[in-house]
Amino acid sequence: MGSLVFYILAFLTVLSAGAVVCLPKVIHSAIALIICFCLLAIHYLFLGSEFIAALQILIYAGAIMVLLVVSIVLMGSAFENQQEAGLLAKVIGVILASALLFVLSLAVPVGKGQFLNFEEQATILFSVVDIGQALFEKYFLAFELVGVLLLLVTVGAVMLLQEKKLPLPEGSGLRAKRQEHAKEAK
Amino acid sequence: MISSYLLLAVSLFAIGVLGVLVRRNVLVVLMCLELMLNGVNLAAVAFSQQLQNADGQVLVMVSFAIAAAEVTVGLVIIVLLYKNFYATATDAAQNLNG
Repeated sequence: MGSLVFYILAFLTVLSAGAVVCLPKVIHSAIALIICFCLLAIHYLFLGSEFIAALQILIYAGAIMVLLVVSIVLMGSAFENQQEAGLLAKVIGVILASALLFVLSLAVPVGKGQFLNFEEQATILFSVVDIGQALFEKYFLAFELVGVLLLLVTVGAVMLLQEKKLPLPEGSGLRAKRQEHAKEAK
Repeated sequence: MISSYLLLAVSLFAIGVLGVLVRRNVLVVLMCLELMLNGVNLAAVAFSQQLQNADGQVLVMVSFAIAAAEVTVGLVIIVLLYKNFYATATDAAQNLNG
């Protein structure tokens, strides 16, 4: 029974992930990605990681996707009439991705082995206490470094988004395009 | 049981790679990067359950923070690409070499 639920969930997860790649409109891809993240949170719950499941909903489906959707809304019209890759590029991409899938699947241990005694083990629940102890004792340096990284990213994002335009190369056609857009804006 | 989770993680990663290779829209490419990261996270959580060790969970937490940072920087780059080149396709970035 448990495995049936897993297979249905896994199918839906792969389906929504495929929808992210296949749907032509970018906002539809974003919604498919939110569904995929929520399904992954359910997988984390089945794996006994309640805290990670909560973080998945909060950070991914919450913060990151809100960022992405807001930027889609802000740049709205720019994403219509998007030129897509040609048929040859698509075929090569599919071949390369399937080759990667095949090679990585070979590395997955299948069948009964020393490593695969998961069924006999009871699913243990990782509480916030376990994770907190590991984070603040064993991996405290990583915790501090992540704090520094987030500060740097915040400062960097604000700095990069100041109102200034990059110099454009002569004769690339981009200058004329920019002036055209500036005229349209007026 | 862990094999099924690992296979799911591998397929998520491969779908993410497919999206990065096939799509031209920079926002969709960014989303596919997120898919790849999520595949890796799922594998880490599955291994953490298999080995009954909380280390994998810490790894996933750090990876969440780094994913948030990565999306912020990626979106800044996309906004700059749009503001400067009026483009949202990956082809526009070829002009970055000057």
